[in-house]
Amino acid sequence: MGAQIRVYRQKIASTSSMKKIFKAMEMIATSRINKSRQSLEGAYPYANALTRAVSQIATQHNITHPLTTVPDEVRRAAVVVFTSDRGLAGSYSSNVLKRTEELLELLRSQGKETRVYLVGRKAKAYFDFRHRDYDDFWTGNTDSASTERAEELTERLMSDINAPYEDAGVDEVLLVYTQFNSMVNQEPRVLRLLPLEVVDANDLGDEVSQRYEALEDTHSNFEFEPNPEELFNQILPRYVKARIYSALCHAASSELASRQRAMKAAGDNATELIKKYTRLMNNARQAEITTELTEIVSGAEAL
Amino acid sequence: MAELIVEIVALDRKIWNGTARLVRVRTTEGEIGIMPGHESMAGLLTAGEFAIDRVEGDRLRGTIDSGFVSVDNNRVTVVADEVSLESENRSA
Repeated sequence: MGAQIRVYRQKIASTSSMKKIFKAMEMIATSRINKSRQSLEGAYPYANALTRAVSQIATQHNITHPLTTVPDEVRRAAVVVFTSDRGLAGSYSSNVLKRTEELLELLRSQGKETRVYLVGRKAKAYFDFRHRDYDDFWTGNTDSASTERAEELTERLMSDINAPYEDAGVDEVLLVYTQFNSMVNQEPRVLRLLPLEVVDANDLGDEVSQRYEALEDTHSNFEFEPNPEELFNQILPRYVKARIYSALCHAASSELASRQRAMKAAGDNATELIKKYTRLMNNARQAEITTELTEIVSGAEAL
Repeated sequence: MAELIVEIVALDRKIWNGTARLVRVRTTEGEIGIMPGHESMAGLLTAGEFAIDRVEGDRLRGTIDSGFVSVDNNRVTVVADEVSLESENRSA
């Protein structure tokens, strides 16, 4: 009987030490998420300004730029996967990886080759464990988006898309990341980054287009310095960078939100378990006392 | 009098936004001053100074590494890669 109490006591001790970890992780996630959401907000003005500029130039001049035209045949696609570095974030990374698997399967069935870029240690571990090939990876600091990483990724993707097919160049770039809709809703999604789709700036629905009148479609005297082509060449890479940075921000915020939620749930479960084990332990203790009493009483009677 | 609605943005944050009477930036073709009613344009910026005469408050100065500017309907957007403001008063 004494052994049973000891077992319960051990279980309670280990559960409460885990609970401390869950609590700590939850608090860290909570404290970081606001900062992460701010950087997500901060990324919008730049991206929207660029979207507007690209759309203006594209509607003004019918420029066909390699980055905005869909090639006749997509032979190779680059896939960038955004996961987290650490676990304890519920199904955050595995959802992204599941989405990636579906995408890779789809691309393969369409006869396209793939180049895979991984962001986050979880994705790397997943691919390593299955002995799958990937072309490059970035790890560390997945819970805070950095402009440097956006820069590096942009450089790599731009050189890939500009390279000819024979030189391992790609025709298409896809991002798999988790879109941060709200604190309780994040969804993994696939975004085609390149070739770019030129969006109508009036559909942006951001602060600027709400506050000011719609852009006119035709400006006969729209002026470009130095010239539209050069401008396009300079603006498009920035646009790509903005999109990548925004994906990084979304991924970081989603990771933190998932972690916070998962840790909250784990902490609650731990509390429940401790309660349950404490009751069982008390039960066992009382049973032991009862047995002891019975033994003493029957012992006395026998005398 | 018409005013310019100005927005300066960097990759990870909005640097400044507000109204202005004059925006001066350096493009690849040379320095230009943008006043209300300026025709629509888009231009590449080179490294150099910029100045904004705010409607409320004094002149805002700073330097830009590179980027581009677009003007449309008295709306000026300056997109900068690296930007530093001289005066620390960033409020609109």
